[in-house]
Amino acid sequence: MNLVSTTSRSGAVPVRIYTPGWEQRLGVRIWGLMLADVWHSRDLIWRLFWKQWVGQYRQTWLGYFWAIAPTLVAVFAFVLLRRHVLPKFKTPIPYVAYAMWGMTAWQFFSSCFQSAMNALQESGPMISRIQFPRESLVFASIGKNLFTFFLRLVAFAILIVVLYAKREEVQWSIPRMILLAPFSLIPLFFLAVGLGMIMAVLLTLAGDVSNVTPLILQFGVFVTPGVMFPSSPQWPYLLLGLLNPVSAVIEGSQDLLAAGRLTQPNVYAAMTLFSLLVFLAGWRFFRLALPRIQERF
Amino acid sequence: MTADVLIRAEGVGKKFCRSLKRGMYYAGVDLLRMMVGREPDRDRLRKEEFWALDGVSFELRRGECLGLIGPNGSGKTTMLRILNGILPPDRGRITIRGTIGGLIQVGAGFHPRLTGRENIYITGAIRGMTRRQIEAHMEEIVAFSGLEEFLDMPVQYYSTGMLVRLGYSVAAHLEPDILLLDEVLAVGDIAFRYKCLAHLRQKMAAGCTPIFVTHNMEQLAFLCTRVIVFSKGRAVFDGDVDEGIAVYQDVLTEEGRKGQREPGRITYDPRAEVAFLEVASGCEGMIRTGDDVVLRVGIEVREPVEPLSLRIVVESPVAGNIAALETSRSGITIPGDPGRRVIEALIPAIPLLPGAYALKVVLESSTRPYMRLLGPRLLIGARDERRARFLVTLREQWQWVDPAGVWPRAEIPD
Repeated sequence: MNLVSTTSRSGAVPVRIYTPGWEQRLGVRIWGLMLADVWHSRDLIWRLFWKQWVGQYRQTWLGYFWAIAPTLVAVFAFVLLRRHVLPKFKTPIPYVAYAMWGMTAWQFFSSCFQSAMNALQESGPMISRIQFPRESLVFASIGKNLFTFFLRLVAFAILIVVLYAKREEVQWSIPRMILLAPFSLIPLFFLAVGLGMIMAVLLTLAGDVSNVTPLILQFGVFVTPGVMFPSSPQWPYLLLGLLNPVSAVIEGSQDLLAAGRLTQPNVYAAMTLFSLLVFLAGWRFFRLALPRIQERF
Repeated sequence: MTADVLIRAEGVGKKFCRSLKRGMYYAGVDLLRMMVGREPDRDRLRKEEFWALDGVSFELRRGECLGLIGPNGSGKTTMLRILNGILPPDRGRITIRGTIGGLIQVGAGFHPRLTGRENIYITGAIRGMTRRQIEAHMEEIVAFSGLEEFLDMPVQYYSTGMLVRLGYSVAAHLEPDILLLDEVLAVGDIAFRYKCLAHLRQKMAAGCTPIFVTHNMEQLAFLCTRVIVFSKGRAVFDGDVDEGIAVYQDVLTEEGRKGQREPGRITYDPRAEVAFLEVASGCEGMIRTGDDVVLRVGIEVREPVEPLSLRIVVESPVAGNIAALETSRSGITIPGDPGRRVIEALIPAIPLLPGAYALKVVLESSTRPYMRLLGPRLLIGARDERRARFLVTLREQWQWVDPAGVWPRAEIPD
């Protein structure tokens, strides 16, 4: 009956025991499993990202232009609004650059959030039948946004070169620390993915979530100082900036653009810490819920 | 757990909810409980919940090939999903020694606009292969799929059959200790299905232990050494394949009985039917290639009907229907007046090579079918891997032709 020796062909024999709620009972050790899962699925994450990215643009003629187009359209609208409709307000850097940066950052946040939220739903049939670390779906879907963000940064850099060459609106001595500005947006990534993973779970419990979030995100552009207009020291507008972690991070990065240093390092640090906590809590919640929600696909 | 036991399932149970909304609500409640560190409601059935699997226990040893059969919704697929680690059980315990791989949803994860080759990388990655493993197997995978010339074409232009071939070819090159198969051989053309069956047997010989969910009894008989029959979430039988198939027929009959006038008979007209079909020669239904085979059929006519004719269709698991025996060819009609009759068909020197074949019987008149399918209960032939590549044997004889100087084709002039 024994056709091969008792050891597995791959060497050591892995033994797994499934009991009700076995993951739940791992306690803190679950983090080891979560990290190991992501590490072992790095090939998979890369492949899934690549599939989405290449698949998205292969049937287009203009290709990567479509990654930048939404930002350009929004910035164009903002500039028109500021010229003709809105009351004049002062921005630390030329407004075109300000809006371009703010919108790039905001769209990075909102797209990461939405990708993480929809990652499970978009792969329903795979989830119900094939076993693989589900986090890879989330992380792969975010890769697309990182790449888009990078392309928009390139567009932003071109804009700066043009502005610098013309030097007409305001004097803007570009600080060397500007290179740090993109990295100062990293907390947005953690915040978006953490929130997105929480919403991914809620989405399986209530489809309404997918209807509400686009509304909130659209509205978010107008209540997040740093995207379209800077925060105001006046009550009650002051609250918008203080209570909104996205705003604090974006304005921090704009500080770096304008002056090369953070004007409110404490606020920025607090929001960074908060984002990290949201990320860890979101991932843990996602993992806790997975066994219970997987049967819903 | 001794070393050759690969899977031990002890009292495994899993419950589902019939209502979508209520299910969402229960999941929410359970999640809240889990978040505060409490156990969700696992043991008790709430309103609209039911046990999709209930107290299933079995052991699987290396070298066995286990078939899971049962009517739709009896819990087979749920069992596979639990074994695969996708769903946690609500009750019981499962111990698995060794790696598990699944030939389930072989086309899942394809991107329509990417080429076949690109999709091989994606599906391979989803199934846990590294880039290096995929590259090492690339040639084999492509050769197995037989899609060389379409490999650089986007898969959105592939036919369904081609997609399945591609997906199967990737999944088939995994090397798990335990291989889960869910109805994967139900698609594809005959040649490819045969290739898959042969490939599976190779894998089994190399020490891979498959678990097979299927509704195809011929494939089951061809591959499996043991079956578990599921009915309404319970394992009602565990053992020998032929006996298991009989139990499965009973379960089907039991469940089909509800809506039928005459219990247990798949018939369109109760006035006339096939009562039995048996192999009257050989030993316990086993016959060897070249034997004279006698098939005996019992026909019962209860109320007067038109004269009838009888047809027996021979089906192969790999090639479909391959032959039919018809009473009309011997000029025999079956009288339509009430009574029980037995008729025999003699097949001299049966040319079928070893394998499992199914016999299906059809009783019909010139105007209507009185059909009854006897299904796969009668299997003829022995299992013999050495000659399973072909279906029939032709009793040819070879001889030299003298003199050799005469060629049928004119020689080409210089």
